[in-house]
Amino acid sequence: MLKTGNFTVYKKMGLVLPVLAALLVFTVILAVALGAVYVPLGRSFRIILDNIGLIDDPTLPGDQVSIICMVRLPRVIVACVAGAALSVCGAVMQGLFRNPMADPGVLGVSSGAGLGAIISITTGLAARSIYTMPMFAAVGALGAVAVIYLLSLRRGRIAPLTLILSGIAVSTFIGAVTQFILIKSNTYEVRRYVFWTMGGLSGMMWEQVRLVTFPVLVLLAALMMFSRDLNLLQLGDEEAQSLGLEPSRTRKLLLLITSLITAVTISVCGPVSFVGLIVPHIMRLAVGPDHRLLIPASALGGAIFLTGCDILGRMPANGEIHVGIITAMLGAPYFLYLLIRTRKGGAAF
Amino acid sequence: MGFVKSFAKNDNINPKQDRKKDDCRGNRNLAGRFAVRRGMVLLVAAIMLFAVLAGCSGRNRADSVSGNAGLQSGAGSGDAVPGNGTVGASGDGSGNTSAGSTDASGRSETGAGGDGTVAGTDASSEFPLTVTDANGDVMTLENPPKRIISLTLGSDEILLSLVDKSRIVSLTRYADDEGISNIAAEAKGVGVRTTMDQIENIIALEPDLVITDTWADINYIKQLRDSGITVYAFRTPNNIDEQRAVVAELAHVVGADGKGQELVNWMDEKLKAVEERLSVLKPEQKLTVMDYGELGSSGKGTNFDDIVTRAGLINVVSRAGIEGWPVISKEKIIEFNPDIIILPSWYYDAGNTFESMRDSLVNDPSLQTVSAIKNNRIISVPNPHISAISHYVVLAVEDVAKAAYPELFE
Repeated sequence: MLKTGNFTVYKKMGLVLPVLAALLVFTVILAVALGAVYVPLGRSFRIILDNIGLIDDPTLPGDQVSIICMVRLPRVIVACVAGAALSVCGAVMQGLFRNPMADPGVLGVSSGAGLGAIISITTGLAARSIYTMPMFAAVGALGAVAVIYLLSLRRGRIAPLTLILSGIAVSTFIGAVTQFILIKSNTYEVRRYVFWTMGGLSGMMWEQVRLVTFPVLVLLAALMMFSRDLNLLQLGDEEAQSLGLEPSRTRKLLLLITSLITAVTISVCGPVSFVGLIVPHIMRLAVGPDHRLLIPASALGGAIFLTGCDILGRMPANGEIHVGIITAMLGAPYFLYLLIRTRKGGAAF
Repeated sequence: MGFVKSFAKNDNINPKQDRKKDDCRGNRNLAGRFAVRRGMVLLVAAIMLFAVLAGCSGRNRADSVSGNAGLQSGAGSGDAVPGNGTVGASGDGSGNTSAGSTDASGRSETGAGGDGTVAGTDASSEFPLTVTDANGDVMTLENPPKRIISLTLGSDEILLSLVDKSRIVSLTRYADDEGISNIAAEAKGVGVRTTMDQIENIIALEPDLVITDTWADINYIKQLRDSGITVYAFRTPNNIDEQRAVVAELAHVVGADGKGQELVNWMDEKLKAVEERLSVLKPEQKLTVMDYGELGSSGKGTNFDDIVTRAGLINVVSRAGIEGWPVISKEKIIEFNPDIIILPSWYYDAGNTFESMRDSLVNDPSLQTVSAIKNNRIISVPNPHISAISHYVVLAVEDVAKAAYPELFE
């Protein structure tokens, strides 16, 4: 049906986005229905309806109500929001730097957040309140971004290459500091940190949903408004400028927004690997490089991908697999498959 | 896949041209408007989603609060400490009798756990029982718990000695591992096996008490509490006195103060027996020791340090002022020159054995001047004892003392 294409981007949008949205709804239903403990699908719905207040059914078993409402629902929502956030940030960063390897990790967000996390663990503050660790991680993440940003600032402009290089250097340095703290920590603390770095969605509660949903969705909406500017940036700074864009200002703003989103996301569910890199690339292969379509498609795709991976991660009856492991184990081969197939087809990438 | 490919082909045109077509011919405003509209739609969707969520979680919290008096999540305040109105001085002090009186060694300062209860001679605590756990969280148990889940090996071992097996619905899977567990045989057929991250399974088991330690992720703890489950966290002891307090503390929580006291007495007897044997030992006769494991050695403030000290030895690592679990370099081993080196009997890496580790030390040319190697005093004690986070830890004192001073135990 999609044989000939003089599609404008909007026609494509009308086709692709509803398909992705339907897929997302399907994945979410699956994610709420499946888990370590079996709850019949129909009852899952009744439990949700009961909790919203649409029906009143006191016969629902209490443990299953807890499982659906206190364990699965918040987890699925965080998965959707985090998946969307990470992949949109990836798409924006790749566009911003015109570098296919860029992902939110480039800015040192992950390493900075990791440092914050290990500090909160070893000082024992993480055991005081569920908000301490996210707070430390977010502060660490933004601190790292600020340092990298200042290092790469030259006469009020950001040099993209300097930014990427200083990002690598600062990340490595922060990583070393983290490891230094790690060798001074006890087994439990190391374990806790290692699990955190795998990126996980277990233990997500409504508190985390509240923490992450609102800021991320608002900021994602803001990013969406820059999609046209991102398209212009692909032409190079000079051309973009001649078309009425201030590349330096746009870049700074976008950097600020993406690092905020990533910091909030990572602080809650750890640095889930590969989502920010792979989903935008898959979407680019699927819908083309126009950011007006790529960004919403990445948001939906990221939500589908992370929620789906999380379903797989919590299926094993004898203990969960952290979602970050699944994203990388599934994502990387699939990505390579796509890459090779597309290359064979002769399409440009 | 064909779908992806056809799109990719259609986009074969240089993206730059594509964009120029769109953007440079005054399409800017159109695109901008679309972006704005899409943003607005998203924003509205977000707010709607939010309202639904707030409704859902709000209702549920109300349910869980009314469902269990005494145990409630801090009503959205984000505070991990339950905002409990029922805490009264009477409830807290109910089982709190003199800690020092029953303490054989005379050391009463334990530092472990919230209320540090060491129960007296009365048979058991009174329910409803209000307790404070080591995280400072207050909770009330309406009845003696009958469906207990233990999430640490230490509490597995203590519980099996405290309560009837029928009251335990789950232990850790470590309980079955002979290499680390003192209850491998006993635990057969007792409950199922669960870990903390299997939240759904834990809830489905409908426990009335979950015992874990303060290392547990507080997100999990809160999640269980939000589901109406009582979760008690104890602090992992760093010496035998703290261990004694933890045994009494857990006994109090499960309503088995009498049994707890028996266990504590048993620990004290064991320790006293070793102490008597070692009483002839003069300070200058004490041998020096260090442990050497895959993950490093043990210094000040560790269980190992307390065990070997009670076994009449001097830990060279803590004597050097080193705390925790450092990795000691070979140079330092030569300098410390311990009389005895203790190797684990159990290894994370199944490829390692006591013999292989010993041989690698004995055959190391750089270590030939070390006293323990010259005199062939590289020993191993049963790992379930020396790594125990339970009353069984006192057996390690006996093991080490016997291995170090066999002549005193003849």
